[in-house]
Amino acid sequence: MEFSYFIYQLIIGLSHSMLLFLIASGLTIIFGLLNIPNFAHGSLYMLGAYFTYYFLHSLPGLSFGLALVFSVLAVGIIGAILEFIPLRKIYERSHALQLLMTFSFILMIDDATKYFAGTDFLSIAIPKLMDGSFTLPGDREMPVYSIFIIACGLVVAYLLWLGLYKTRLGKLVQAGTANKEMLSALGINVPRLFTLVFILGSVLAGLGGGLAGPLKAVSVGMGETVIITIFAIVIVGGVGSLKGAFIASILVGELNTFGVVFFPSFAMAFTYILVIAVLLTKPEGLFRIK
Amino acid sequence: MLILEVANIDTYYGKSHILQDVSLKVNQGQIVALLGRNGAGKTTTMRSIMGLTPAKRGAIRFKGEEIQKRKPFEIAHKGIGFVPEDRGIFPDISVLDNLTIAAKNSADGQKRWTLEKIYHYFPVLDRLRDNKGQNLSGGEQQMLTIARTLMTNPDLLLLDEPCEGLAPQIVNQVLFGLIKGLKEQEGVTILLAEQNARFCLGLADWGYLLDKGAIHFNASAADISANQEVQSKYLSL
Repeated sequence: MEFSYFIYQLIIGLSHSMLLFLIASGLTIIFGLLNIPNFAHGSLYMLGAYFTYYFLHSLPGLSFGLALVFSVLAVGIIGAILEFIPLRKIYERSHALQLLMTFSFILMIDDATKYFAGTDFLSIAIPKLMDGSFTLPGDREMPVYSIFIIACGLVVAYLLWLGLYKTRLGKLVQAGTANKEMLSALGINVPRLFTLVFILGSVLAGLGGGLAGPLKAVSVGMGETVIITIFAIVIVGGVGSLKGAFIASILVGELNTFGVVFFPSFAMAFTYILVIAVLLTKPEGLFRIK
Repeated sequence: MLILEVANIDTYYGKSHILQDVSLKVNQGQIVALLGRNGAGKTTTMRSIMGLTPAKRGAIRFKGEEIQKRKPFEIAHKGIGFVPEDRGIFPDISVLDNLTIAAKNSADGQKRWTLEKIYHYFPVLDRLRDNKGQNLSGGEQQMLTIARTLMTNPDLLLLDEPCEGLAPQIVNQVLFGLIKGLKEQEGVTILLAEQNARFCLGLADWGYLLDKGAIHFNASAADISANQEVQSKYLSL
């Protein structure tokens, strides 16, 4: 393989990785602290894309950036409702029951989306400012939007890192991920912390969906497609570990990208070979908190 | 003055009936010992008071107010501090962060415990302030868990098995003096659960003997220390 082609694929893979990281970071923090394997996290991602589409089309002249902000807020509100009404009733129950309940959210959110938006595939135009490409050595055309996604992923990773390690809220999240009972005995309102973190995780999923909108067909079912990969990333990285989610997103994103290049018909398998390898050798994940 | 009154509580873990009609009283400024063998129900009593394993029947009154239906974080804000047997150190954050995230004013708005005062009582924590919780020895963890709960400025401290897993020198030379100091210099009220009855009776004013989830005997610590029969029946000295 030519070196320039390798670099090109590496960058494309990285943009794919950063999109995965935006979604996976929210899920790993939620799974780590609340201990809920939220299968509906992918649906929040899907809603991020739909809301972005909706705001762009119902408010003509709205910039992509503002549509993204509105859509992320809307997904945050839906996340708050999901946490506050049904989810907080089942924190003490088994993972099987929690999976079942969050799976039912997927079906309900899918149906609601069909009801309001129909079943047609929708497409979001790449914002004008970023609708172009530049030429890499070897005459490869690199879309500006891919670079924008990488930048968004890195900025969010940095902000999350600051939030988790430098703020009181982040330290409470780290403490609660290890021992929430102790945190409550010290006088911390843990249910409120859970709601906040669930909203934050939902917002990240929504942001991922909004940013993915211009790259993918916005459709019912896009959440289910992505959620398995996202769970794979969370497991490989270690439940609750932001660093783990970041590294595992890059691994999975690049594996997929290069898998498609080298073994197109076998590409999907690489992620799961990685999951199996990690589960067999380091079942707690690469960077398990605890 | 009565600060805590546990009145006829029954507590269950799932279907198993752990505490049966347990009653006890703690007066302000006292150290009250909860004695008994492993599995006698000492931890469950403390967890019931803290709201972590709520009692199904009976009442728990703290400063005259019923708290048995309250959530743990609300009970903490009323002024009870819990130091669990497993210490519950947060492993991924520093010693300093373990202390500061717990910091809050007392129920009456006082800030009796500051970092300076904590470091005065626990100089080892000052030295280790930037270490992560997971890198501490057992004795250091025990100091941190007590110090961390003190940062919540409790009016009553529930100390569960502080001697567990510690070397006898640390128990006798450090922990004993520390708990004594908390009572005598700081006026902290303590409910102390310990299998190490000699340690416990040396500190306590009053003692309750717990066996199979029920209180069988209570008397002043001096009377329990003098009562060979009770000791051989309920304690392993």
